[in-house]
Amino acid sequence: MSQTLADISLSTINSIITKQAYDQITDLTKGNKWTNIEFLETWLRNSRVPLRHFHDMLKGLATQMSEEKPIEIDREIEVILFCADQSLIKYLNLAEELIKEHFTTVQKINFSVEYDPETPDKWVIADVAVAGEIDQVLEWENGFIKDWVTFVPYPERDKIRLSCDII
Amino acid sequence: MDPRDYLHIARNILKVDKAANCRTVFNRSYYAAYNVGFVYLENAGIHIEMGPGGHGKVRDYFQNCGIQDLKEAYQKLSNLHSNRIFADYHLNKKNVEKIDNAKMALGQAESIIKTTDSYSSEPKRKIVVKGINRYKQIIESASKIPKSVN
Repeated sequence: MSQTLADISLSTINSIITKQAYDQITDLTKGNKWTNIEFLETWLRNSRVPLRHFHDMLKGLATQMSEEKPIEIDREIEVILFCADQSLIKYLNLAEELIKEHFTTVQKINFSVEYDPETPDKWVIADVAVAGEIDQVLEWENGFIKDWVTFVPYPERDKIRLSCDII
Repeated sequence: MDPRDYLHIARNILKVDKAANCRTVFNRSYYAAYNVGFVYLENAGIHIEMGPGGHGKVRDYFQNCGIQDLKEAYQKLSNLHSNRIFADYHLNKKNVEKIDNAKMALGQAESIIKTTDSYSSEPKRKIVVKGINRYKQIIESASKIPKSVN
């Protein structure tokens, strides 16, 4: 019995991620873009690609789609001035990279300068709007903190903090 | 009083999904974790001043104790501290009024306390205290070096 596109569940597509597979499918389709499902089905029928191979290709497509999703980044000018004054610019950039790496569903990162009304302390806060379950986001946050503490010295790491907003 | 009791209050408050409840969960979660760290240091003979300045000192000492787990735990406390300030002072801040975010704050406080407690018995405790005392010595020595005058 032949298998069709309908046999491949969305969860299968979403659960698969490799960049190499995308390069492979791009090569096989000679640069054609999969703009609609009909093209995809026709291509699959004509190409005689084994289903397992097709799964691998979809991995790459899912990756490309997730990579193309824009993440809104907002850095207030006050943040740049504060970080320049405190020699934190490179760590600000690192924070952004690590947030993108660990919080795979991040949709928005808003950096702002915050202060403690009870002391003279100031710091940058990265407000991270992220979709997901509580346990998953906690796990991502723990991963971020592990890297943050590993790569950023003290007291610099205390001057850029994280606040997660589950959306 | 055991500061961990604040966590029981936070869990009970979370049964009602209201803005004020969520903000209070951030506050109680932070103070539970902060005070566990404070008591740990005091019991080890490391004095922390009372008042606002003490909050930074607790984080400062654990962040410089030389143990990765504790550094990570007290970086979490920094994040929780920021959110506690949002919850207490920034009434326009909506993310501290969401129940999922409040549950995360509670989860982080539990994690900080669990990590701190895992270093409360010997010989781990001795290693932590030694690390902090070494850091204090370095800071004190550095503060005695006169600054050069141009």
